[in-house]
Amino acid sequence: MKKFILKIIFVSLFSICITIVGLLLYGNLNYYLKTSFLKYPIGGYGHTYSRLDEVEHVKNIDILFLGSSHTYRGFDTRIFRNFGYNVFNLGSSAQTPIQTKYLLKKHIKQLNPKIIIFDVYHKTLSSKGVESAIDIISNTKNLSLYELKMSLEICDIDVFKTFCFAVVKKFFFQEDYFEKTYKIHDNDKYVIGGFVEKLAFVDHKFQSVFPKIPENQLSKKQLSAIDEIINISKSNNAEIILVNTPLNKQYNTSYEFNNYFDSLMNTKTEYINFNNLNLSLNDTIHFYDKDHLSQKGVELFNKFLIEKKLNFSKP
Amino acid sequence: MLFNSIDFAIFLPIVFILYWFVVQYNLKRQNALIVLASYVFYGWWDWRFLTLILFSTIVDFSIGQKLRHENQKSKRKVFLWTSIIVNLGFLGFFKYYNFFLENFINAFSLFGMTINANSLNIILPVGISFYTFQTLSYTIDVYKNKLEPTEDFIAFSAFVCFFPQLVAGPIERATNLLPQFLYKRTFEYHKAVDGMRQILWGLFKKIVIADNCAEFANQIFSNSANMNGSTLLIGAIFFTFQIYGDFSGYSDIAIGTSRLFGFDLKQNFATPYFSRDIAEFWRRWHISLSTWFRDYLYIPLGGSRGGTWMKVRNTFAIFLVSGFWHGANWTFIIWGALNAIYFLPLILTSSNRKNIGVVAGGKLLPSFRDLIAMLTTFILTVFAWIFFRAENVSHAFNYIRGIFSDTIITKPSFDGKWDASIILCLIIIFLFIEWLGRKEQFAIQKFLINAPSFSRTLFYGVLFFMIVLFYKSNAAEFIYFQF
Repeated sequence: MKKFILKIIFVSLFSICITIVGLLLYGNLNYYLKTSFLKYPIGGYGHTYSRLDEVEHVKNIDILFLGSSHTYRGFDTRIFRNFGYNVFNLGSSAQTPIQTKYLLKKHIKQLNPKIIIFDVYHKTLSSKGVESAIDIISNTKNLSLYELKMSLEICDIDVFKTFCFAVVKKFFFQEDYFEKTYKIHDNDKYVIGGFVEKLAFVDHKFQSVFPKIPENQLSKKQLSAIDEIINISKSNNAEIILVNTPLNKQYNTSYEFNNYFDSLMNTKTEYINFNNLNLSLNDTIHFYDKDHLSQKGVELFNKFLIEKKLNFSKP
Repeated sequence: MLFNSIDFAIFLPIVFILYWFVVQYNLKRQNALIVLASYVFYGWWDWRFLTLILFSTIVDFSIGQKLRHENQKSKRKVFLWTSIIVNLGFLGFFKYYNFFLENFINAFSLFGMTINANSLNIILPVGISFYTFQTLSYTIDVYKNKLEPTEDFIAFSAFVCFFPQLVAGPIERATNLLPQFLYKRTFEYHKAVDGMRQILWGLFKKIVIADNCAEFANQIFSNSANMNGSTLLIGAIFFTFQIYGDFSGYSDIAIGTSRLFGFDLKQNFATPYFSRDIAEFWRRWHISLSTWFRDYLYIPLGGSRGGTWMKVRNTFAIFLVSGFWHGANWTFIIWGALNAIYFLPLILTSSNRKNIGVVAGGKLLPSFRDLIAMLTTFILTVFAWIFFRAENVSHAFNYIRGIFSDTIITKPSFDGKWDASIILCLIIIFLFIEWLGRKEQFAIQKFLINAPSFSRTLFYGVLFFMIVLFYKSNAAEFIYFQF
């Protein structure tokens, strides 16, 4: 028995070493192959690398934006700066409250925001958070314990693979091709402060009818992450506002549980669902797809937010 | 609990340590631990259905006891039929109730009669087809005096619910497995190492081959109406390897796990895609089910005794029942019938036992004749799997029509071609290793056995790396769980 157990331990340790070397080799090759077996989307969709690189150098801001692509495509940092606010947009693709929690823990002391605006899109609340975790781990220059804790909390093999590869890669190689990521790709331009502007207006053929989406199963883990985010904000003397950014009207009404969701969020802290307010947004002009605002929509929405909702607490 | 889950990776070492370090000196305790662990393993999925297993165990154990003391033939028959009705009754209700109801209503509607009956929202208990057949084998063998009924209820319970093979087989015969619960097991180093090797190979088949083939097979079968012929053909080939990797992978993990606890289960797959005719294929595919049907259905029906037409009738009977065993859908019945049709020329020419041994025994490569025979059998199998995988009969026929359209010579078109190319390369490597190990119980049993120990360890390390790299977090459950 002793011999068997020692053999198992030896083969396991050896296999782990082979796996680390294998991940390193395959991961580097995969930068060109782009297979889905090991996900490491550097710079990729949403300019996460540029944002996470920039945030390292930002300090003492007025407003911090957090959330999914609705956030980094919905809050134009230039507009807020024109109104005198010092802001940073820390949104990332499909960011769920679990990722928001760890990003906030990592950066709140240094950013020291007065107000935190956190977009709680119900789709991200029913997600496990794998896609977003992979995006953040791949695009973080200096990995810390926060990314490790996030991986452990999500407990998903794809996230573990990306994390292991990221650790080994960052240890052995300097990722100089990161510089490219500030460039425009897919009509997306990164704006200093974390916003991503869609340069061309996409003539999107909107669906006239979206199938009804029944009451969703909101993840308990994600809901408790929202509570933790609120606690972290309050313990750092930051005012937190939960928001639901505007969605294409037809798409928004396809959700049958909007009322339930609104009442749930209202129990947590101050909450604004912009879909319930009269912003005069037109589905064709102010959106470039079913749930993302076009630049015209962003301007209208941001001015509305600043003039109607933020003026009273302007720093 | 799934074999390819973190839950099982924690569960298995705990049970192993308790089994060999805490209760190792006492047979009753060893068996009791197996029952407890098996109930936890099954209850992880849905604890409510444990009552079904327990009930089945009590019924068959009691009938075994009754048969021990009963010599009157008519009464013995009553006991036997009680067991058959109870076991098949459960199976029939949970698996086939809605199927019969729907077909009954449809049949009446053909004559213009409308029947209002509601189908029930029935959850199919995982593994019911497997443990039902296993317990039936006990009662039938006791009835036929092939097996002495056991008086040890714990040992019998362990035989019914033994966790490695509870939910998807191999379907063990009472004559093989039950006696192993009646004698104390001792730890054997070589058996345990062999078991670990088989688990590793099973995980490779399931995670690297089956789950990755599933991604493309699902994509192509779900959108088959919009796919060209060459893509549909690739989809069918992916499914062919998905089902083999999935089911034989499960069997390997089950057999390997059993070896860790000192048990020997039957080989369930013996490189079936290297078969030279369909009869050989069925001697190598899901062996435990094929032999079950042979012993408890084909032979009682008369087997190969009698005339040619008797043989044909019996062959069709077992293939149709086997198809129906897989699921309550006409697609499975057609799949069974198709295999029976493949079998027909072999019966008529009495050549169904022509290819008994391993192909190209003692040689590295097959002869040209064997190669053609293997390819032909493989193509026939791929064609039959289309019915097995299709949602319904019209889907299957449309799929086949799509393959045989003029778009068969166009370029395949589906998402993730790079991924698919890598998986195709892996399938080739996989087939190469299976070919080299075709004489063994499982392909890597003696792979690199004469090479230096370092090479072997390196090979296992590479397999482990591939399992990690190709593991999918959204992987499908084992296909045979639904049966």
